[in-house]
Amino acid sequence: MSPVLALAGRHLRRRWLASALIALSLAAGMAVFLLIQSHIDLTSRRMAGTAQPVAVPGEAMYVTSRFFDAAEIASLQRIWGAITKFEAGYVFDAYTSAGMHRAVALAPESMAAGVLPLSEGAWPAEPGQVMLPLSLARQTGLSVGDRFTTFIPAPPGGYLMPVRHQVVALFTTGFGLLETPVYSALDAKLRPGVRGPNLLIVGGGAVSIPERTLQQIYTRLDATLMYTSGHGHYLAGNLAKAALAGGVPLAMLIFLMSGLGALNILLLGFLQRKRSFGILKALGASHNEARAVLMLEAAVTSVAGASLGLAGSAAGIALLRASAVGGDYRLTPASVSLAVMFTVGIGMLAGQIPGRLCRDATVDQLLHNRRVYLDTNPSCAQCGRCGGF
Amino acid sequence: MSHALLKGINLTKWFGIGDGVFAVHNVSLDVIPGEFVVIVGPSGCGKTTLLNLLGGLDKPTHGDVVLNGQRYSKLGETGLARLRRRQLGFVFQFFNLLNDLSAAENIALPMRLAGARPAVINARIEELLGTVSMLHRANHSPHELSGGEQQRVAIARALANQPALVLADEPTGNLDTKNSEEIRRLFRKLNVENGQTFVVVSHDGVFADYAHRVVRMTDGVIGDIEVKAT
Repeated sequence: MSPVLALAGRHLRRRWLASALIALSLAAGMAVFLLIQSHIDLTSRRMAGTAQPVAVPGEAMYVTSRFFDAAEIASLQRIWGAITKFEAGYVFDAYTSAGMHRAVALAPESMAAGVLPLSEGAWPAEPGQVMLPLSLARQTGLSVGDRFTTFIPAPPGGYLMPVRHQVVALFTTGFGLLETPVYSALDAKLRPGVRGPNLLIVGGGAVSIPERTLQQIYTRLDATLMYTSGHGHYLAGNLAKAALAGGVPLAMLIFLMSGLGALNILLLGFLQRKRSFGILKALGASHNEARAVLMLEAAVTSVAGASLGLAGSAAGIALLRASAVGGDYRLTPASVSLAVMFTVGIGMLAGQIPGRLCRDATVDQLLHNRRVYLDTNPSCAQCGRCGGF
Repeated sequence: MSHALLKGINLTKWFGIGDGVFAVHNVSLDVIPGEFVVIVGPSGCGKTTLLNLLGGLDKPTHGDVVLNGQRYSKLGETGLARLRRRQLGFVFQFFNLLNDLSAAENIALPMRLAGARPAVINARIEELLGTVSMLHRANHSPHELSGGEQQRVAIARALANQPALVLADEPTGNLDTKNSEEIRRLFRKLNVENGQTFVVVSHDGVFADYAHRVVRMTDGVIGDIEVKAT
């Protein structure tokens, strides 16, 4: 057996706990990456399946969520007064906040509701029936069957009319990955100092709305998102983008952290064995052979980490499918390949630094446990301000 | 005069720490095959630095070393590693055995690096362990061996590839009187019976009694060379 293989193998066996920690660090990163990826994948599949037929109620839909002061309410009421051709009962659903709670509800016609899985209840069939996000229901203590009152701006007078609603369904967005960016986007234009919107409106027109009126709504209500019938995929796309925007950086960050963890342990493994590598070089091992011992250790622990990560994510997926969150979570070959590539790549990258330090260090530096530097330029060692390794 | 096995030519090593210091300054030293050379001198006089330069473990600021016609300055890192692997053996004060490996595996390591076949390695391990009287401890880890035993394993390891030259840095510096005597006798035996060439750096004055030549160093230069009767 090659001495490189023998030494790496012996080290991994003797220091099995440190080796296991490297593998676990990488495995954790990979498992979280795969879980996030499978959630994004599930969301995409759901959207692809539901966005097409739902489209926009009538010819336009709008979502408004922000803090309204009295003058704006009056302005809003004037605009609403101008819109006269909505079908009765489906014209608006408007909800005010209740104390510190953000009052969020979606009208049955809302496309956003169409892409979200129900955790309890059934789709609203009648005007006045609403679905609430599970998190909001928990915060407010509302459950399916409960009734509550909100205030609906009633055209043409423009006053707020108290209307009773009944909760008929609760929906979940899984880990909250979808809720957070969507709500954040809606809150983005909040005024400084205002803790949350006091009004959320989801509305749709069953008949045509004059273009001028649409423009009026769009330009005067700066937190209003406007969708027309030509934008059936718009919201779905936005949600997917929001999931990606939140999920991918998170997964990358987790990969980075696990890579740093692996680097830390691999570096420590080298620093503790400086003298051993010095002996190895003194006995005639080339610089690259000495480096190969560390790279081999990094490769073995990375592959072990990838295997553990795969097993862990498979178990996580199975748990998710069986849990209340539910959903057809699955691991795709593409995501698994990507995750394995990333895990092994990050592990090998983490092995590069100790490997390079070991390759470039002189026998004397290693044998006498002197400091080693990433830059082999003698002036680097003479400066020594960084302290070396 | 015999052809020199090892030639140190105007060796200088300067360390640029603080105002800078010459650890070795313009030292030339020849060693002929079968010779037993002992380098003595006070602490900090540059003995170990000279040995490291002669063994290719460190690079001189000026000067060069030639071993069996191979000039170190002409060899790249890989060439120098190959030379250390095949033509040099090292014995250190602190034994420097790899703790992850058993005594036999430590001895096998240089042969494995040289690409020897397993059958050859096994036969050679047995022969060397017999030479250093350590056959009964072959499968023990270094931490299970006494200092004297570890040094004997280290000597066997140094001889594994039948090197042209063995360089030893204070080989008895970490041993008690009895073990020191055994190691000195072992060196002497290997030199007389096998014709093994040795360059030994030592504080141990008794070692000089075994030498063909005693090189005395002071402040990085050779003070005098005493040729002993053989």
